[in-house]
Order: sequence, then C-alpha cells, then structure tokens
Amino acid sequence: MILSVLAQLVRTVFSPFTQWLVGNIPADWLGSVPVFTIIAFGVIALAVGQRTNPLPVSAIGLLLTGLETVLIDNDVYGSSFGGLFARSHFADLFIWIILVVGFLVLLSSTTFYGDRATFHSLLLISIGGTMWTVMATDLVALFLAWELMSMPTYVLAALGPSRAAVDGAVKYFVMGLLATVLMLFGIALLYGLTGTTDIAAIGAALQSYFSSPTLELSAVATSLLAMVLFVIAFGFKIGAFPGWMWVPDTYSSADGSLAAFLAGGTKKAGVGALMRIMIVGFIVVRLQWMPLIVLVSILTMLIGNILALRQQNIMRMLAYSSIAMMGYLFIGLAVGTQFGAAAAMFHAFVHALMKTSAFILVWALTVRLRRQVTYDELVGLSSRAPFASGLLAVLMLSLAGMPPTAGLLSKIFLFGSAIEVGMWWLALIGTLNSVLSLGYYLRVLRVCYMAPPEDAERLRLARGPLVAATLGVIGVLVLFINPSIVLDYANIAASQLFG
Amino acid sequence: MIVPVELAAWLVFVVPLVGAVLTPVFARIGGTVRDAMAVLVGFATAFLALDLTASMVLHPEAQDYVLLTWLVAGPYRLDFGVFVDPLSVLLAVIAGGIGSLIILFSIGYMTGRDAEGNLVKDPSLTRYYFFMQLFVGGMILLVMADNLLMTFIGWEVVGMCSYALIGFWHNVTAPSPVADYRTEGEYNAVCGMKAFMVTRVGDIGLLAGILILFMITGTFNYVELQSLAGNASWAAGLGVTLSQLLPVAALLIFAGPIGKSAQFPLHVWLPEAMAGPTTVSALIHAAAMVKAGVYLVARLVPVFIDMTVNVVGVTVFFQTVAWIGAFTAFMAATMALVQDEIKKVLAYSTISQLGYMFTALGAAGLVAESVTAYSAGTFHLLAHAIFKALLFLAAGSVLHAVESKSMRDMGGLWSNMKITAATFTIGALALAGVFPTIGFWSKEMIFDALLEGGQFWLFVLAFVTAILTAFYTFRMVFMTFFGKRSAHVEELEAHGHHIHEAPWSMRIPLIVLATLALGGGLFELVFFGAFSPIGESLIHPFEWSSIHLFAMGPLTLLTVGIWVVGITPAYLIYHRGKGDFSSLRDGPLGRFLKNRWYVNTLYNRVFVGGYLWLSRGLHRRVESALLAFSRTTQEGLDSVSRGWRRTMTGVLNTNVLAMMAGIALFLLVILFL
Repeated sequence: MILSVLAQLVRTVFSPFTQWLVGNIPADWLGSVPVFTIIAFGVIALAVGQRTNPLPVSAIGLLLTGLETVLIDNDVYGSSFGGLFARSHFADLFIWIILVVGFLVLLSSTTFYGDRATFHSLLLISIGGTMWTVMATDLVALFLAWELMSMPTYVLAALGPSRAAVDGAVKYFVMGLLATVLMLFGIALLYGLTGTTDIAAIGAALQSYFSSPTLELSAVATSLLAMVLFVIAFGFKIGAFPGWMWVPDTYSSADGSLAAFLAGGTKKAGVGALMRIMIVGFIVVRLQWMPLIVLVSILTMLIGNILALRQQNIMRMLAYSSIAMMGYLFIGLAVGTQFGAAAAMFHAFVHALMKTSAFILVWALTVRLRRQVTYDELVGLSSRAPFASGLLAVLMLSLAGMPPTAGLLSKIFLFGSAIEVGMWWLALIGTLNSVLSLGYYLRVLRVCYMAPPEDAERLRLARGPLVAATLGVIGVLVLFINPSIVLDYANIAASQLFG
Repeated sequence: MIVPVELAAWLVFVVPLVGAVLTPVFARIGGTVRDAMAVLVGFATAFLALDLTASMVLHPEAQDYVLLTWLVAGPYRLDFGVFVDPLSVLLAVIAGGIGSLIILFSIGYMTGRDAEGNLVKDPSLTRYYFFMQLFVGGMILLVMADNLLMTFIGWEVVGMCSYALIGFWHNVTAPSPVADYRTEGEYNAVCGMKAFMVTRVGDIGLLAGILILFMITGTFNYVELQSLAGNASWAAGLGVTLSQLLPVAALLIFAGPIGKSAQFPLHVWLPEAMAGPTTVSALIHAAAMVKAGVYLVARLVPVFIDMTVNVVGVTVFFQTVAWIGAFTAFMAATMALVQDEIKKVLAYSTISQLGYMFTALGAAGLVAESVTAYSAGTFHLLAHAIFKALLFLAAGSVLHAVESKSMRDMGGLWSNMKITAATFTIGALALAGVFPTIGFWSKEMIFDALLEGGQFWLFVLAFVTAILTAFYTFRMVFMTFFGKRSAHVEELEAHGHHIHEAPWSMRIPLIVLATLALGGGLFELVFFGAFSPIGESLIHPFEWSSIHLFAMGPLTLLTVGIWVVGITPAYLIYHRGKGDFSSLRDGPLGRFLKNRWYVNTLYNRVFVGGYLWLSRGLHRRVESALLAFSRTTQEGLDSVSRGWRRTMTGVLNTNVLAMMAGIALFLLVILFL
C-alpha cells in the first residue's frame, strides 16, 4: 500500500526519464537496464577509484539502479533477452533485498591496502550478477548470472585484512567451484532429459513425464538426481547443510563488509534461485523434495545453533547464526504453500536487514579495536558505546525473535505456515531451536549490559557503519509495527510463483 | 460551543497527556514555568470540558466520533473514537474541572518549609506534575473512549499513575507509621504497590470480561453494544453457551469497578492510598480513579438493562452491583466510626459513598423506574466529586497547618483558619446529606428510587448507613475544629509556629468547591431540568421527563431524622465531651472495627502468607528439580557443541568430503522416503 503509493509518486516525478529510457533502449533489454547500470558504474568506479575514493560514484550508481528498478515497471517491461531474464514481483523482492544490503554495505565499506577501486568495482558487478540470478528463468542464464555474482566475491573475500582472509577465500573458492560443477551437472542432466533449459518448460516437461502412464524409471531417477544436485549447489551459497562449512571460515576472516554482503545479499540470491527452481521447475516432485528440504532445514538449524553456542568470536557466532537462520527459512520452502513461500521471502528480507546490520556493526567494532571481537571485547559496551550497544541489542533481540522486532514476526509467519499444513512438529523443532539460540544471543546482551567494563574508555565508532546499522535497526522496528509493507509484496510474489 | 465538539472531544484528553509529556521539557526551563504550565494545562482541560458541556446543553445529542481505524481483522474492526454524550461529558467535567482546581491547589500545597523556615518546593515536583496531568488525561481518555478497549487503556494509565502518586514520597526518611517498615518512604511505596496490586486483581477480571463480551458480541463499541442489546433476534441467535456466558462476562467486567472503586472485597487498598500527598488523595477520591469504576458501570448499565429483556440471567449483574454496593457502604461507614486520622475517615467515607452509587446503579436494573435510580446514581457521582474534593483539599489545608494527620492532634482550629473550617463544614454537611447542600438532593434521590422501586432491604441498609455517615462526619468536624485545643497544637504554638490560614492558591479552590457544594442542589434542577432533553439522547434513550423530582413527603421526614439521629450524638460526645466510651472503643466491637473487620488480616494470611508458603514449597520441591534439569541440558548442549567444534578443523578436504557425503545422504533419503 505505502510502497505502491511511493512507487507511483516516483514514477510520476521521473516520467520524462522513463520516456527517454523506453525511447532509446531496445525493448528487449529494458528489463535488464538496472543490471547494466550497476555493472557500468562498477567499471566507472574502477576507473575513478585509481585516484580517489569511488564511494560517491558507487552510491550514485546504486541509487540510479534502484530508481530504474522502480521506473521500469515489471508488469510492462519485465522480460529481457528473449525471456532469459524476467522481472516479476518475486524477482523484484529479492532485487530490493540485494539493493538495500548493497546500500548498507557501501555506506560502511572499509578497505585495506588501498584496494578501494577493486572493492567497489567488484562489489557493484557482483550486485549486478546477483540481480540477474534472481531474474533468471533459464538454467543457462542462471548459471552465467551465478558466476557473475560469485567470481567477484571470491576475490573480495581474499581482500580481507589478514592472511587468514586468503585462506578463507581459497576455501570459499574451491567449494564454490565444486558447487558450480554440481550445478552444471544438474543442468546437463535436465537438458538431456527434457531438451530445454527454460525452467518453466522443464516443469511442464516433468509434469508430462510423471503423468504419463508409462512412467520411465530412468527419467524419474535422472530428474531426482538433478534436483538433489541443485539443492546442494544452491544450498552451498545459502550456507545450508551439507555445504555450510566454508561459511564460518570465510565470514570471520574476510572483510566484515563483505561478510555482510555475503550473508545479506548473495545468500538471498541462492534462496531466490532455489525457490524458483523448486517451485516452478520441480513442483511435480514436490512429495520427493519436501522431505529433503525438511531434512536440510532441521539439520541446518541444529548445526547453526549448536555450533554457535560455544563460539567466542562474534563474527563466527554471527556466521553460525546465519546458517541457523537459513534453516528457519527452509521451513517456509518445505511446507510448499503460497503462505510458506511468502513467509520465507519475508524472513529473507528481515534476515538481510538484521544480519547485514549486525555484521557491519561488529566489523566496525573490530576495525576500531584492531582485533577480533569476542565476548570479552563486548564487556560493558553499553557504557563505552551506548548507541552502538543499543543497536546491537535490538539486532540480537531480532535475531533471537523477540518483540518488538521483525525477527519475531518472520519466525511466527514461518512456524505458522508449517502449522497450517499440519507440520506442527517442524514448527516445534524450529521453536526449540529458537530457544536454543537464546543461549548465545542473550549472552551478547548480558555482557553488553550487565558486566562492568574493564576499560572505561569511550569507544567512538566510524560514522558510516553506525548510520548503516541504524537504518537496519529502524527497518527491523518498522517491520514489526507494520509487516504488511513487505508481507503484502511477498504474498503477491508468492502467488506469481505458484501462478 | 467555542471549540467544535468533535475537536474538543479529542483535545480534552490529548491536552493533559501532551502536557504531561512536555512537563520534563518545561522543567528544564525552570520550576516556575513547569508549575505554571501544569496549571495552564489543567485549566485548558477544564475549559474544554466545560465547553463540551455547553455544546451539550445547546445541541443535545450523543455522537460517536471516529478518528481512525486501528485495525481490521475479518469481520471485526477496531476504531479509535470518542463518544460524546451527557455521561461522558459529565465525567470529563468532573475530572477536568476538579483536576484543574487540585493542580492549582498543589502549587501551594507542595511547598513546605525547611529547618530555617524558608519556603522550599518538593524536589521531585517534575515527577509530580507529570503524573498528575497523565492521571487527568488518562481518566478523561477512559470516559471519552467509544469502546471498551480504549477505556481499558485509560483504565490502566489511571492505575499506573495512582501507583506512582500514592508512593510519591517514597524516599522520606522519617520513621514509618507502621511497624513493619523501616522508613515512611518505604511504607508509602508499599501503599502504592498495594493499591496497584489490589486493583490489578479486578483488572484481570475486567479484561477477561471485556474479551468474553467481545467474543459474544463481536464488538467493543458502546453504541454497537447498545444496539445489539436491544436486538431480540440477535439474542435469540446466540445459542445456549454464549447466552450463559453473558452474565459471566458482565460479572467479570464488574470485577474491574470493584477493584478501581474500592468495593468489597477489594476495598482494602483505598485507606492505604492516603499515604500519598493529600492532593493526590483528592484526585483519586473525587475526580479520577475511583470514579472510573462507577463510570464503567454507569456506561454499561443501559446495555445490560436492555439485555435482561432478551437474555436470561443478566439480572444477577444488577443484584450483585446493588448488594455489593449497599454492603460496602455499610461496612465502610462502620469502619469510619473509629478512625483517628482525618484522611482515613475521608477514605472510608469515599468507599461508603461509592457503595451508594453502585446501589443506585444496580437498582436501576432491578426496579421498574430504572431512570430514577440510574440518574440518582450518576447525580450522586457528581455530588460526591464536589464535596469529597472539597473535604480533601480542606483537610489538606489543615494537615499543612498542623503538620499531623491525627485528629487527636487538632481541635479548636476554628478561630485560626476560618475559611478552611467553614468550607470543610459545608463539605461535611453535604456528606451527611443535610439540606440544602448537594448531598441532600442526591441521597434523597437514591432513597426515593430504592423505596419506590420496592427494594426495601437495600433501602434499610442505605438508610442505616446514612445515619452512621452523619455521625462520623460530624465527629470529624467537632474533633478537628471545635472543642479544646490538643497538646500537639499547644506545643506548636509554644514553638512560635502559628496555626495559619492556607495561602490564596489553596483558598480559591476551597471557596469554589464550597459554593458548588452548597448551591449544588440547583444542579438537580439543571441536571434534570435543562438537561432532560439531552438525557434522552443518552446512549440509552431514557425518558428523562418521567424523573421523579424531590417532593415533600414521609421520606423528607426520615431524611431529616438522619441528621438529628446522627449529628446530635456526635455533638454531645465530641463537642461537649459527654460520656466515656473508652470501654466501648477498646472492647471487642471497637477492635473489630479498628481492624477493619479483619478483612485485611485475612487477606494477608491467605494471599500473602499462602503465597509465600506455596513459593517456599515450590522452591524446595519443584524448582530444584527444574534447575537440575536446566543445568543438565545446558551442560549437555555445551559438551555437544564443544565436541562437534573439534571436527570443524577447517581443512578443505574435510569440507569437500562432507559435501560429497551430503549428496550420498540426500540420494538415500530420496530413495527410501
């Protein structure tokens, strides 16, 4: 409601610009114009960044991309490149997640060794790739976009402040390659089976296979193998079981802004792509993938929460918590209903806000203290940096799913969607996991607020990260008061997906 | 009139609420600014309330103004609206008008003298004015709200403010008046908590009742409730369970007023509420808080009256209200007989007078002439607000001068503080129901309604209570202002501390209120004469023209008899000093009354003692087991986490292997599920 009014306003104000765009750009490209824009600005940032800080260029590029995303109405100019990429409400929801995360990350970007140009350029290109990933309706296009998204992040991960970053980056890279190979294998299997790479066409083809009276066992086996491969390949990027092991190593050793981007942005692209493939492509074998996703969901939750319990390093703790969070998200996918999908998207949005902000905040602290932040560093934070401590407290409450934050609602929606279809045991497991997660979230609050500081010196954090985290916290609070801002949009997106 | 009704109806509670929020801001500028703004806000509120009344007189109509829709859920919607009708306006005038006078009075009252005799303001006045304005705002929100839920919000605001204000002097270091606590401050804080906790017991019932009523009717809105109540087909479609739940809901809702308006069995908090500043007591007793309960019952009585026609069993609500009211009136009056503190006497008299109101309101549903009973109840509400505010403020003036709470430390103050004494006596006359004060008219109406309606036993109880009231009221007057000076006063005078009249900021409210109390009988004419057209626009279209106004008759004689029988012994015993009643005072009856019928002790034994007993038992038997369980869980999870962490070597080979193993696992799952 509010969003559509705002969008209408923006469209009215900028209508000449829209006219110009529509008049000068081939209609087949229009849907991808925002992606072009951000990649172009990535190149410009590389050039500008040789001399100065390219932050203004990147920021303008990102804002322009956002503007174009609003102006180019997805109902009218959705499809581009002959339908390889299509913008719908579903894709746009994830695009907005990525843009918001990208904006917060840019605001708080920290760079080392003077690699500003590289950082900005790669980040913007990766954002472009991420946007394409969630728009892709064709497996080959998806693969290309996936690589465009992933490649820059491999380099970015290595740009961290210490040697460990390179180590983390290598792990991420090798595992990423493995995932890519698995994905390619899955695509090849499906192509061999159906003769097409269009996801919707694959869905139709599978439908006909499975409804034909002569059910060929080899076709079934091939499609199921492909499905397993997809779950694992995308699950790798999402950080779900079984491809989750790189997450803590990479997140904790890389530049914190990048960790924020990986956790908030590319992870959601994996969610988007997986949801599209599962629901559009493999809806026929829903009964087969549902137990699989349930298994992934439960294992991912357990892994994240149990391993987070004993972590000392806050960045690692957050990494594990983001694994657990994806476990909750998979509940929404596992129930396989429209409400479940909408809840999962809402959760993706909320998680992007809170996890990005949390990483940014902890990273700002790490940079300020020049050492890894553990619980000991947080002792008495409330008196050393009251504002940052307050932000962290809200974020932790939100991650733990407590009022008055959107984290509570996203969990309620997810668990509610499970109960709606009778999977109350899954909701119960999720709830128990939430309880378990209190063990490490509340520990942060306890050391921040209840332990007296050993070092009474005031901590002044950099302004950029604080502003970014504040925006995230405001978002989390606003979405608690009025979740329908995002939830309505997610409902439309889910209905399109199931359409 | 001057301000449009729909605007004034909102502003009348928004102004004090905003004033409360801004109080700390003004306090930053300066203490004088803060005090002045509080008074200004008070008078702005009073003005708006009076303006609403004027509009009501000129254009009598009941109107529901909805500002915004709060939420819509399926067939249900929840609006934020105000309801303007004679009842809500009357309560708004009481809360706003008397509230403003009390705030003005506070300027003088909250100033004391330090050891050197310099005038000093109380250091936490910002808190004081914040809560006073919030109190008034919450009360007006409660009465103006057009639905039960908003009323409940105001209800809770009022409860919270009462807690904060009763315990206002929580850091006084003087020795405690009660042996159980170390300092007076601690005692005050406990009194605030007692008020909060006891009223909360009722609030739970109220909330449950509201929700059950919502479950039955699907609405919180008073207008919709009223239209449903008269709808026979709606009642017929309720089904057995829901229509049986309806009386339960009504009784649960009445639990709220029982707590808030200090009726038996939740009356125990009100005497302790005297621990706060006297101005707060005045506000609680006259303008806000205790009136909230009466208001809620008055608001819902028309609804339930209509329901009695269609739903069986709702009459039990009226019987409960009337009998609890009458019994409380009697019980509190007996307790007031033996009190030595002037404010305690007033506190018990409030409980007693509230009982009268509930008797009348309850009788409205029991008698054929429900209009008379209903209007008697509401009119007594107005009358009581006026004379009780007057009595409290005058008592505050006395306390301020004498620096003691006990009436045994007073006596013979008449010559020193004539205005206070005269106004106090007028208030006392009104409380005792002596012609021509406002109390006479309102009480006479209640008796009339009870007698005409054939509620003989209720009438007898009310009548006996009235005699007791006249006695203890004048006992208080004679002990305070007449007779011999007490040793305490002599000692004060000897130390050069002259008993002095109150300053003008305190005298003005007294005079205004005394005038109202004295000439308030005219209100009956105004209320039911000029107001009668709007009376018909009350939420329930009563035919107000059928009201039975005062007429000479045998009842008049009885009413006069009350004064004679009640005041004469008070005069003889406490003015003339005749008779020695110490044996009676110290006898079993005196002890019984002094210990407040042992109700307090019983509650303490059962609820406090029982709770502690239960908690000790639970701690020993159950909690230790739970603790062990939680410790084991924690340790178990911890060791799992620690052990698992060891496998997280970060070696790439392991990672890749795990991923491959994952593929195998998934394929197995697919195959076998």
